[in-house]
Amino acid sequence: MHSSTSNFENNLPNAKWHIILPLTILIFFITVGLFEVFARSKGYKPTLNDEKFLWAKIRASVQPNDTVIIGSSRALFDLDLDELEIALNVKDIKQLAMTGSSPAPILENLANDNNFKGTIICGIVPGLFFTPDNIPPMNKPKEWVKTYLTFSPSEKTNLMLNHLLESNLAYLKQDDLPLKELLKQLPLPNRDQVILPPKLPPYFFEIDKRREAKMIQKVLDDQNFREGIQNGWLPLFTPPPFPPFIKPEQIPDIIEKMIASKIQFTKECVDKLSSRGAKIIFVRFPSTDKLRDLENKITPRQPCWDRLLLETGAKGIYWEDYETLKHFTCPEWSHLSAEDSVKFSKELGAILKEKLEKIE
Amino acid sequence: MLFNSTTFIVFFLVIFAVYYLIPAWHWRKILLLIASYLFYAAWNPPFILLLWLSTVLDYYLHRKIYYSDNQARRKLLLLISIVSNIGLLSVFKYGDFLLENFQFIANALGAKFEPVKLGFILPLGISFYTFQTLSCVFESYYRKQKPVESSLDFALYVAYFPQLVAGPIVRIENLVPQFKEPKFLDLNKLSWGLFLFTIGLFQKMVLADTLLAPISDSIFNYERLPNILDSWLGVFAFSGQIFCDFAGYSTCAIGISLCLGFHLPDNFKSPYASLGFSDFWKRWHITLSSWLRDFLYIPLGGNRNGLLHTLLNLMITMLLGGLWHGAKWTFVIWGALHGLYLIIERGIKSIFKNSKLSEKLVVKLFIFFITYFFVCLAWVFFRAQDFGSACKILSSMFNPSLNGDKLLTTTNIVVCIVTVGGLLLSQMFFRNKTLGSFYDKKPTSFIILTWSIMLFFILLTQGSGNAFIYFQF
Repeated sequence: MHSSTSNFENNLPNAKWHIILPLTILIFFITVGLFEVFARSKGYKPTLNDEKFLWAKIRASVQPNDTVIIGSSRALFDLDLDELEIALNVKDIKQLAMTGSSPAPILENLANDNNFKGTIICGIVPGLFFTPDNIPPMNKPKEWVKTYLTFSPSEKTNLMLNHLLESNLAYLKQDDLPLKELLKQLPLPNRDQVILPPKLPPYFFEIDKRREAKMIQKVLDDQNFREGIQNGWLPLFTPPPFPPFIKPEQIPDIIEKMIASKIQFTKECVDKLSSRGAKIIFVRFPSTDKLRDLENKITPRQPCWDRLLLETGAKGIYWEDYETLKHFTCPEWSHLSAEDSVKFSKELGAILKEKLEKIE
Repeated sequence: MLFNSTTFIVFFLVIFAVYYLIPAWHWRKILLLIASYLFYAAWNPPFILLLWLSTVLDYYLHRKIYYSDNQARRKLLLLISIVSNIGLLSVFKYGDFLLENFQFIANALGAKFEPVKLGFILPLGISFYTFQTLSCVFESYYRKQKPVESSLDFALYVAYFPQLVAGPIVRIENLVPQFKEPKFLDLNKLSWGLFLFTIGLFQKMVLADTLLAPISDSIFNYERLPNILDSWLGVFAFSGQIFCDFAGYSTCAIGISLCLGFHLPDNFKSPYASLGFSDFWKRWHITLSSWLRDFLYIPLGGNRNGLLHTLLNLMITMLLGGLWHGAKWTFVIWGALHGLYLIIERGIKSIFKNSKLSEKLVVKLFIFFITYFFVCLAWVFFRAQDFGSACKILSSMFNPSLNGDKLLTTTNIVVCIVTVGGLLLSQMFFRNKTLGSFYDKKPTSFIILTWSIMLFFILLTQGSGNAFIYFQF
């Protein structure tokens, strides 16, 4: 045997394994039980995790003539798939919208998929859509698209098995309860001038195997909880300051270039889709109160939304333009309640149908 | 298939149960072989063909090489094996890298050359199983080992799933003799194997992915300049992350294998407790460094042809060792730095050859810190996306006047210091010990407690595992 290699043969420790092994297994299952009791006592219910493999599965199931929803969290929470299918008279709408992200990389992926000739409903949140590359709202969808492109058999099996666990265990909530997230909640004061990522809102939605997401009732019932989410949106939607080496007079030019390049990119995608008979329609979903004011201030309608439609030549629906849609309000300022998402989808579906029929 | 995935747990439970239920040893080995191919194909089925090609080719060649008396024919067969194995590795792993560099040189010389990017996906574990099969061909060539007679044993040696995709890189004599005798369910081996598997998962899921990766990622992925403290902590965090990630995989592999009745060699022996760089390479990725020593450094001449040749051989070995990790110049620089460290160490050792100074505790501590410090400096190139990013981190680490951005929260700082500090202390403690000897005759309650604490933290991570870093090599 080589001098550099050895093995564990002589290192098996003497211990009472006949006691240790069964007792440890027992403690393991008791710990799982305690975690579960803790999670449920905090109001958590079993729900799937909205993660990249579930998204990849839905993306992989898209058929050439399917209707597909892309966009940010508003397109995810505000649309009821059953209601939309009835209104549009289509089956099996695919939900590919994603929280905290820009739909641009997904739009590009669908535009480059020559098999796809269906319909895209694209939710636009300007603050997320008109972002530069290499920041979280762009990185997340890029990573998820990459996961779809390399979706392996073991990842598919893993997803299936994890769904069995997630459907029954409330403590498996990757956005809120893992050690990584719990550590972030430690109340330790930070150094001055530390650049911190924006704080994301706590668990407030449930999602199923179709990726149909609904706001949980606690948002409506618990004022403190609701206000906690509301307060999270304002810093999250406020753009970070430009680095000091950029002069203030340069900023409008930079923003203009950013918007122009994103619109140019979108136009190229729209043209590709249209050339093979696929349809795309943009939708602006409701926001409320201080968040609405902030959005109007930092991403006003004319230079963002109106220009997007004008330059891409695509159709769009801005909720405030329609009597049937403009009265909807968001309890936590950014998303509709589960009940309202059904009503909203019914009304929006009727408008979508009419608009889509006019697209050649 | 990742060890830290639900699929693997179910896969292993099924294989484990069927394995011990089958009475005939031959059929149990066939089951292990099928399981190994399933394990591999579960990532990307077509690439199983490369594994089969490597198996068939090297089974045939290593036997022919051993039994042939014609030296010229033996050399030719060895060359065929090297060219085909390294050729496959080069095409899939280094193809684009070679083209890019060729393009750079051609353009610098004024020739217009724009190659089409190959864009191959890197087959999982190709660097590991290529080196494993090559080791058996080399050993046949040097007639150090008798060739494997059974094609089933050889195929299982190449594809044995616990160590297939990220090592340890096993030699024939480590594994094939164990295939001769049937294995029976042994509670001691099963329990210790599961215990080691838990340690490996704890290292990977808790220490590497949960505690350290967010810190090193936030520093190394930051586009602007990080603050001096943050840069240092980011590098220390990566030193812990890379160890826990890779050693975690090896420990899982050793544990799983033990459950099936097979012993795999150690791959790490408290490397951060090293006293010097030659000591480090006897403790870090042992199966790779011994492979490089036996099949590259020694055949190049080792230390047999004078000082200059020895130093040159060291540098070539470390440069190629760096390149083994990936088709990027940053890996080559990482290897070159370690080559340089080893050369300087030789120089210092020759000066203090007769001195008893190194036996003093203070000096030992000094050497320990110096070794860890320079190993960390080299990690900067290993982790950085490119040369520019590495230089940015290094400039931030050594130039306080640059005043970069503060990125780490107080929690991050505490977690980094406690985790990396704890890791270094534990490695100093285990420097001359093995886990097995430490747990030998320990109270039952102590073992249950440590095992349960690790399981508690693994549960707390919720199994949201990333791929192992060494999968990309």
